[in-house]
Amino acid sequence: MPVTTYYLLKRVAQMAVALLGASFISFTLFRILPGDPVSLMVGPGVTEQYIAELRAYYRLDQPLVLQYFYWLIDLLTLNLGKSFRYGVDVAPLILERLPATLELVFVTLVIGVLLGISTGVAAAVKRRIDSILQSISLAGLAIPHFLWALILVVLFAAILRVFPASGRIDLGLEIPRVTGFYLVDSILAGNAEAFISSLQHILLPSISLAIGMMTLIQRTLRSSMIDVLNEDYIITDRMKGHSETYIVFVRALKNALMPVITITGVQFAFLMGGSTVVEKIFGWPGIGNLLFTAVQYRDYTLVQGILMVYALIVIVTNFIVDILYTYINPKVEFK
Amino acid sequence: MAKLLKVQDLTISFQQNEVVKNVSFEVERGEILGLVGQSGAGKSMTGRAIIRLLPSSAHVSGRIIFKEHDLLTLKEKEMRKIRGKEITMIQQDPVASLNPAFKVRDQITDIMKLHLKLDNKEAVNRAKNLLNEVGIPNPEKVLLKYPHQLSGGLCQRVAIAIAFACNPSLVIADEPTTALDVITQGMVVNLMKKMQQQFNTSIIFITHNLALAANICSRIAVMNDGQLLETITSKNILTESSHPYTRILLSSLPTLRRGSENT
Amino acid sequence: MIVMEKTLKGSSLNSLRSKKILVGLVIVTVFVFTGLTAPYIAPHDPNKQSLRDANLPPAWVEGGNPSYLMGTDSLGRDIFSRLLHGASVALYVAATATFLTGVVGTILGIAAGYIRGKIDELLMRVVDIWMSFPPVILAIALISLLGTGINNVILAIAVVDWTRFTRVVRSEVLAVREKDFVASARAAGFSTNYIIWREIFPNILPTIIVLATLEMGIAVSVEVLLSFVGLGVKPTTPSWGTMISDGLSYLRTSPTMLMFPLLTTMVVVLSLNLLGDGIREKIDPKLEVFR
Repeated sequence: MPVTTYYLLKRVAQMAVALLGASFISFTLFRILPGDPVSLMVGPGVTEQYIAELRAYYRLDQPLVLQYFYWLIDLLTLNLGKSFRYGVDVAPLILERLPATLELVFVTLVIGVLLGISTGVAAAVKRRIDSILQSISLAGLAIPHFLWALILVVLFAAILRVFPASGRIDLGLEIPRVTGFYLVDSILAGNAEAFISSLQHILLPSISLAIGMMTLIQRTLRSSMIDVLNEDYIITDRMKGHSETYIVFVRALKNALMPVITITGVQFAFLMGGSTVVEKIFGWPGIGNLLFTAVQYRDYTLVQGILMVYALIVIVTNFIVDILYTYINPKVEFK
Repeated sequence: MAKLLKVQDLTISFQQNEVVKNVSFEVERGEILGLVGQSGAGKSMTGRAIIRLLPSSAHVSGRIIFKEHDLLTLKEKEMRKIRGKEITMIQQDPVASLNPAFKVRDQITDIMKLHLKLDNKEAVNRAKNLLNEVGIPNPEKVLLKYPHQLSGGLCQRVAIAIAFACNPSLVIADEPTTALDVITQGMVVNLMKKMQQQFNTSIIFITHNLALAANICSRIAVMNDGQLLETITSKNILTESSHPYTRILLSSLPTLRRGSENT
Repeated sequence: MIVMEKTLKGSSLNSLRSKKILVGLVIVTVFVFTGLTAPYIAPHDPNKQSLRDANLPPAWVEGGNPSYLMGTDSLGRDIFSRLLHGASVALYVAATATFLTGVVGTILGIAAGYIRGKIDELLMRVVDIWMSFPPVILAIALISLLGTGINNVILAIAVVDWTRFTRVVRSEVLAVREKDFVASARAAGFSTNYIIWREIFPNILPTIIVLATLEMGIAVSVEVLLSFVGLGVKPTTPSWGTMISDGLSYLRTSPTMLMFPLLTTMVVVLSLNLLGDGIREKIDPKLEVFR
């Protein structure tokens, strides 16, 4: 169903408001510090003049409103300031590590959605599978990402030694950087060994992230499918003589997926959060890992910048999910 | 001429609870048989048993002989060939009986592509003609709509079109007018009469409304509490009916038009 | 005129015949008991280092020392004692953070759900924007600003998770306020305060209990998480998180250093969830608490 321009504009406006709010929170976070942020950053043994210069640079002596205004302008021009620790601009620093995080999240989504949907349908259709899944699904939801990551590391990397415990690719393997996504770049470079190595490395971290999401999708879809399969229109479809497979996977699934899409969108923020620690556990060179370094060195500009990027990713993804939802659900009204 | 359908000693039970008890009746080719009774009489269950769309927890015994085959002995795969092609069903709630996630076009053409092996173009054409037959003025527009965008009456017309799409021998109409207003009810009834005459289909018309049944059906089977009490011709409904229950049904009708009505 | 609509199925707490609740309750009780008594029952000082006794395996393994039941870590500290004290830390964090989040979430949820209007709209907007920040990241950013330490951890948990509590309470209040007995109380002229505390609150209490139990599970997870990455409790405080972090480095040589705290955390978090989920099933199976 074609989305009206008005609806699109309205959603974009909502997105802008959300980004604005996020920027405000990011801004406030930096400035509600007890004490002077700059001195906290530099540590002892620095000249007064240096501190004064830094304060001027961060515009800390200006009225708050003006500071916020400058911060917004900076954001719009994609200037996230200078990293104190690294001495370079924050934006390119984040940009360099962003593909690693995005690739991890993408693979997680693929695994989570595929496994979640297939187990959800299976649970709705076959009783035996359902009872097994019911008992273990609570574990999937209750145990946080990082614990799963640790369990998987212990099981597969330490005990069974089938998968590597850290890094993105085996040492010594190099692929020319086109997109920054190792899986894609290795295919583009025709390097099978690199592709396999990248796959091996991304598997454990993405599975640990996918477990929670997979379980939630499975639960939601199962309940949704059971409801749908009891509806009158499914009886009509059966009356027509369609095979059960067609009915389940085409006729029923399309109806049952709608609440799943909503849930997935909501889950995404948690996924991003979990990816941070998973990155740390697996030594994954993404922005999550960068965040920890930034925090460790009290590099507040970097922390602030990374925070905004995470918020941006979540907000944009929610926007995409909303639009996707309107395409799938014909009943959505565009007002 | 051999009877199209012979139901013999049909018994349906759910966990020791019998909802249809030893029901037997026959349907001729081209006739409209009414199955009348109160809610819970077992008439819907009987209808669904014929097309074998009962819930899986149902226990069925007896024989349902359709064109010389006992439907109850057929494998599911074989039954699927019959469903949609030889026997179809129309349900009570027209909007709910159509899949909300698919356009009307997909829901009419699918049954034709499945059983008549038509390609997309032919199926769409045939769908347009069918919609015309059921009295829908601009079929092209309606084909592109979703069920929730159509009125109840319109949806029921679509459901009727779907039911007749592959020229079935038997249509089971399970309370097709109950969810509609009186005027639309009349429309649906007339439409079904027309379709039946045009395609020479047999129809089992399930309803609790005796007057409505008398209007459209040539014979009426009265059911109560899972049992089939008597079968009478509607023309002589007043004179023939001997069962006390039928008498009760007759007397409880608010307006039974006598004399001037065309049966 | 208190009307209890959602009572636990069965007359009293004793008839909560549910495996989930039973198992969850047993383990949670052990957890709470351990947490409260740790200083008295732990055989060793959790911070006492002894390089002589470093890296000992569990007592039942060859080379183990019976006085160190589960072995020692790289600094010679008794793992068992640290595990027990870690329970205290986890319990303290869980209880306090849950209380804080619960109070804030309930008040705001009731305000939004009952009073509605501008307050509701504004609050929900704030909640939406707040929730676009991944919670873990927000917590990390907060800690990076406030500094580490057990109280900052509690604050971080509350600041990050209050939105979820508020949302669920609000939707429950919305449902309850439409009920007949609320309308009749209003018609009878009872004040808003009275209605809220005597009519609405008792009916959302079961939900709050479920939320609180689940919140404790989340709080324990977050505390362990933050301590694991070094942003949680101070180094002098024993925490399962720091134990896991230490144990990770010795995975190949002494896997039990990691396994004990890891398994303990898993079991406790799982049990809190079992308990919360079990109670949820008893009061309202359709209740949505997972965001």
